[in-house]
Amino acid sequence: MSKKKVKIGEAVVVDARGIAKAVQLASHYESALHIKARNMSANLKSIMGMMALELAKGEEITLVAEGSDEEEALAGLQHYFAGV
Amino acid sequence: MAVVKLSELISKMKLKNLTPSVSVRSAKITQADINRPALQLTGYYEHFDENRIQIIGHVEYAYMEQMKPKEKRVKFEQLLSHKLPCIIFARNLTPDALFLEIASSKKVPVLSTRMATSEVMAEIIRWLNVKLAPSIRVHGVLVDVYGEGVLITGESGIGKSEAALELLRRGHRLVSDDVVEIRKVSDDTLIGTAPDVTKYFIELRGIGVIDVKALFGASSVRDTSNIDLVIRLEEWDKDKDYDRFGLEESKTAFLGNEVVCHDIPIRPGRNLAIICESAAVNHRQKKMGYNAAQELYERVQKMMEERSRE
Repeated sequence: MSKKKVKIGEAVVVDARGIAKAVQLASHYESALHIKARNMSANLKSIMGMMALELAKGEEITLVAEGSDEEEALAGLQHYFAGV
Repeated sequence: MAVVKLSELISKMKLKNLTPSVSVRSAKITQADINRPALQLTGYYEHFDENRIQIIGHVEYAYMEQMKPKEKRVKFEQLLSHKLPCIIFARNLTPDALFLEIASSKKVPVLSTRMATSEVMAEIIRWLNVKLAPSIRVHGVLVDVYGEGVLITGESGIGKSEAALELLRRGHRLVSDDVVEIRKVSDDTLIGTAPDVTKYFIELRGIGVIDVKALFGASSVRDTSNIDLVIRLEEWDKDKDYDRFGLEESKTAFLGNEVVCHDIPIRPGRNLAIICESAAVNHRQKKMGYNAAQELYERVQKMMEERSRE
């Protein structure tokens, strides 16, 4: 299992469409992916779970991956959420 | 830790604010317990729990009324100097002008209700117990099937939402898709709700998000339900032993409460909705006192005994 802390970038769109994109990206990976924010956690491959998390720009999140391609998944998602 | 805003309590219980000058916007309640400050009014402050809502009923009111003006000032000051979340006067009792004056200066909100003392206490405790209950979010679908709250869990893409949709079409009701907020309201009761953002919505891969309430009507949804049964969907694993008899129940725990749990293997051609339905109704029948597995066991036992006697 690997973890990575990310601060959501100012340029990242975290509206419903942005979240849907992140979920789509996460679904490409084999690993089980979770996100933690404000003491809550959600499955990164679940649209509803991610929407209910109500993420905001500038917020600190933790990405947790477990599986065969966890490093790759973390790198991809970090890239997405940091907006760089 | 869970907190409830005082303003929420005021609007829920239809309380009248007698100290409008005291702001209730930031006030919060952290305890579901209640105190009647009769002993405190006599001057005894050992074990006083100032985080609790204070309720003044007929007894406390009558006692305050018979105090001399000088004593009133001392006793009121003493009580109101604590950081109380609020004081509620029951039965529409009107507090002393001096009481309101001191409460305003100490910034303790004073509220009133027309409800009787025991009634308001019971109502507030019941409501706060739900609001302040420990809660978690789980990944799963909660459906009310024949009045049993069935939580369907399993990995993403295994078919939870599809099972829920099929159940809805058969007349059962959706509580939440994908994310369920579970609250432990007592040691044997868990209740589940949907987060406000995703309420009444189901996501179906390839179609997107659908609004169940708008599509199938109000009879297809429910706001909250107990969690009576867990159905865990998983890919068929030929090396794993699945329950074939049902005499022993396996359990899973949420927030320390145990719930009966069935592991259901998925294979093409298995109708998930009908399996969920049968599991729910079988669970219900067990609660009503009939256990099919036990019955079968007894029949076999009896037959064996008869055979051995022959």
